Amino acid sequence: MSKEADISELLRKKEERRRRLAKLPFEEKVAIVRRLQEVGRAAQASRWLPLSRKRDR
Amino acid sequence: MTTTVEKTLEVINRMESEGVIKRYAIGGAMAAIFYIEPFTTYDLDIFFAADVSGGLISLAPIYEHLAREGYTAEGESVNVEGWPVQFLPTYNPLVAEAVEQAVEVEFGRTTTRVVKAEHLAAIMLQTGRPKDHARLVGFLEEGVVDREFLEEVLARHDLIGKWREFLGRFHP
Repeated sequence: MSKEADISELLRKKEERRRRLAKLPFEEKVAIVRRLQEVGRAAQASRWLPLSRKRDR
Repeated sequence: MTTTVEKTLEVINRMESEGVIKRYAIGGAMAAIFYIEPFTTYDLDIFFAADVSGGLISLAPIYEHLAREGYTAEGESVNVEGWPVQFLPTYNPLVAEAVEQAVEVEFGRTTTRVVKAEHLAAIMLQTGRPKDHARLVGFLEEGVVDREFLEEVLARHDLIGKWREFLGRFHP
C-alpha cells in the first residue's frame, strides 16, 4: 500500500472516530471531558514541555 | 448514579425554580460538546435571561446564594459540585433568543436546557475568535446545523455579512 493510501485510511478512521464520538450520549461526552481535564491537569503538574524548550534548558 | 455534573445541574435547576435566576440554558463549549465530539473545556457556561439594557447587571445575588449553599467563587466562576460554573446574563438579543428557544434535554435523571446548534453557530460567528471559527467548521461538517434556520437567525441579528465572509474563508 502506498503512503498516500495509508494516510487516507488513517484520516478516514479519524473521521469515523470523530463521528462516533459526536453521536455519544451527552453524559458519556461529559465523562470524556472529565478525563481530558485530568490528562490536561496531569500534564501541567508534570510540567510537560516541548522538546525544543527542554533542550534549551 | 448521580454524576457530578448532574449534581451541578440540579443546583442550577433549584436556583431557577427558586427565582435566583430566570430561565437558563447551557451555552459555550459544553453546549457545543452536546452536538459534536468532546474536547477539553474547564467551565460550564450558564446563560440566564436578564435585562441588560442598562448596560450593567449585578451577579451578587447569584454569588451570595451560592455562597450560602457552600459553593465558593473561583475567579470568574463558582465551583458548584466540582465544576467551575460561569453565569452569563443574556448580554445581547442573539443570546437572549438562544436562551428563549433552548431545547430541553435529559442529563441522567435531570432535565436541563441546551442552546440550539444554530444559535450556538450564530454566537460563534458573532464572537469570531479563531476557536469559534474552528468549532463552527466542526458544526457544519458534522451536519448538526439546519442551514435554513441558521440563515434566518443570522439575518435577524445582522450577521449575514460575517457569514458570507466566513464561508469565503473556510469553504465548509
